[in-house]
Amino acid sequence: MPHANFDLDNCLKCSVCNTACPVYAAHPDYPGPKHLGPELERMRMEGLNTSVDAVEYCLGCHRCDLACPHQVGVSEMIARAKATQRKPAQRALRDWWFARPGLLGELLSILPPVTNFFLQLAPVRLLMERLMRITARRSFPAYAHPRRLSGIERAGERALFFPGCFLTYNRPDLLEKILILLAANGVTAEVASSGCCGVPAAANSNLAEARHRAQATMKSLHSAVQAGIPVLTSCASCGHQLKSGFGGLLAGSAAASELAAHTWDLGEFLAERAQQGLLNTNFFTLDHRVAYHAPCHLNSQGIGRPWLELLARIPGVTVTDLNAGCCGMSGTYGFKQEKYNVSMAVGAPLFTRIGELKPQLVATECATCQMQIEHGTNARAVTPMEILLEAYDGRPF
Amino acid sequence: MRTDLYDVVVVGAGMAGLTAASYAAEQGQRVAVASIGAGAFVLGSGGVEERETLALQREPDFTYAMDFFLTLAEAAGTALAGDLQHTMLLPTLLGNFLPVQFAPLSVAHAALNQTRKTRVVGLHGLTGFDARFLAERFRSEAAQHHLPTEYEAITIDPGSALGMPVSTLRVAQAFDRDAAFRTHLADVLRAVKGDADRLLLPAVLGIESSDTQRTVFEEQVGCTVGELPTLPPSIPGLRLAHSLQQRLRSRGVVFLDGYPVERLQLERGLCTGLHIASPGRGFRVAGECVVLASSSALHRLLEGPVNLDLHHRPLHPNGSPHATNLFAACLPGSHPSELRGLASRIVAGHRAALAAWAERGACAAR
Repeated sequence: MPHANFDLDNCLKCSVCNTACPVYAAHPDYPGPKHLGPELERMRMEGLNTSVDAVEYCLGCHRCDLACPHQVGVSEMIARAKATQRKPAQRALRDWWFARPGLLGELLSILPPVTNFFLQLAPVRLLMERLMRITARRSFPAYAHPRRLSGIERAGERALFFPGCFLTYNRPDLLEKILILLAANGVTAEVASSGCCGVPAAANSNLAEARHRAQATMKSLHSAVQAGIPVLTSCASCGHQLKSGFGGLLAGSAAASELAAHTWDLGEFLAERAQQGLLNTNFFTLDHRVAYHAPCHLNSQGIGRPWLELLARIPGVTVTDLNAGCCGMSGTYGFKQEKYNVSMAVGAPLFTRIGELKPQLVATECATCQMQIEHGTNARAVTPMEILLEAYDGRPF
Repeated sequence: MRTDLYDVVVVGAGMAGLTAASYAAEQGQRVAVASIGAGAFVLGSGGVEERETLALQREPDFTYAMDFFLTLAEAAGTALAGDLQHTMLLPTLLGNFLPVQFAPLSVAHAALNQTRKTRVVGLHGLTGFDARFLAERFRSEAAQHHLPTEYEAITIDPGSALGMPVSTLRVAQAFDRDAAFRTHLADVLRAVKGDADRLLLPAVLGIESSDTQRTVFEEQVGCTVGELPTLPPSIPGLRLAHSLQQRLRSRGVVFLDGYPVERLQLERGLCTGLHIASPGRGFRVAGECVVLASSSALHRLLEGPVNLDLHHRPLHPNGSPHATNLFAACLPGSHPSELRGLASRIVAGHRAALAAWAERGACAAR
């Protein structure tokens, strides 16, 4: 990430980062990115003990980094501090699991009906809250049997699709739809065998696991990168990680920058094809009033909002950019009992905006943003991929 | 690589950039603003000092640019008070009065005038705003100006209602988000108002609030409420930036923030694209016209000293423009980093956008 190249001395303490921080506005005890990042970093550099529980509350949304006029890598400093923070046993155990959605997914998708039945039961959820500090106020997403999917053969371009944990273990049906979507655009996409990208590990203060995931992922994508095959992902956080996270975890790795240059967000990929006149525009006319929410990790990729552009091309779809900040879910953050209220308070402006607009659908490519929007509002949240596929096959999702 | 196409691409989201983008957007053009960070609004009061207008009066388009900006700010819900004929004396954190020509309405409400009794309201726990010190200093300053205003100090404790340590940003965010807190703050202020005609507060009345909302608040308090810009983050500066950005967004302007424009693609006397250094391959945007409204971007992208031609195009050392569709928001003859205050930036941004608009017209005619 270019931000990491910039020195601590670039911080002028102007407080722009605090004004951009969603947690600062929502959580009374959060001292803000300026203090947790550059200010305490000076102490940490001297080896002083600056252990402070508040670092745990950073969402990792990167809004401070993007807002800084001097490109100080604020969130990176907080993430490193977070990794050295000691936690009580219950939370440490919970975060160990949350850091490994791949392993969790493998186990929970062995017998999905049993898993889903138990995860819904009130006593089970209360027990999880007691034992593991996982809030009982949210429901877990349903798990499904992972499907062994291969690309639908088309004569045109080839791509490697990086599904991420959520599509693999929770929405294999959506993964299949994305492959159809790509086939409709003349792209044969194989599904990468990689596991988790490591974002949850880093977010749950397990940098060793994150590094391990980074290495494993890079290995699994290596041959595609060498062959010049584009790596695509529809998950904004996986995309962010493949493009800039690995560079930070494996400092100076040439392979990481090579992978970054070969990674496309699915929306970015399709918008690029649209500009080249290669997007399939045999659209059915739909009838949707859509409000679009851009996930934080899409913003941090610095590629604009390609899905806004793509959805606007579909006849009968009107799309409004919600532009109401972070949803507050941040992957596993919103599931943590002690962070539930902060998570909901962060999302409040977004919920209010959705309430004002009353759209028929909220579209966002991020699965956990979707969960949070449906949890905090009465709106139905879908992915923009599903809307585009509906425009191709005319079948409502 | 994907290239997003716009009529005008503005580099820089400070006051020059927002003014240029606003001018283009008000003409119905498709605009993108590319920037790292958020400009210097956290440091500013959103006002224009007298010394700046004195320096700028020789610029022929100064009044025109200011009129454009004043109309814009009012439409965006954060009007500026003042005109070129009358100078206000506005109180500062240091306890003196500064000659100011234009200031946000609520800041202008703090001006030294015939008000009989003013209470300076400190917030318990807020450092950098000492109500007692300020009241004493204002009292003696007012006496020197032979004005009848009495200043008294009083301290309130909004922190207990917020359940958090007080900072201007926290109070302003609570003011924006929490209707109950606004009512509570108005009640507390009404209670301490006593027989005063005016209250002076550190500037905390919301970043997202509009003039109308602050007027309603004043009515609830029951007297004039003036704001004093504080140490960074300065709320009136942020408020002005926020309202202008919201207005631009509502006009379809796209903000691409967080990563620097790394290079300009210059081909055959035209700027055909800008490369934004986002992670991976980066991102390209192109505009029929490009306005460089950031002095750091200007220096980074066009090495060497920057001179402008009569159409506000930056020139090569050999005297020819870098590109016919590339404009710079800086005042001719001055070093770009000499753009010190708000008004210089408004004039420079307005001027560059006007030149770009003229160039678009000329292109269309050709």
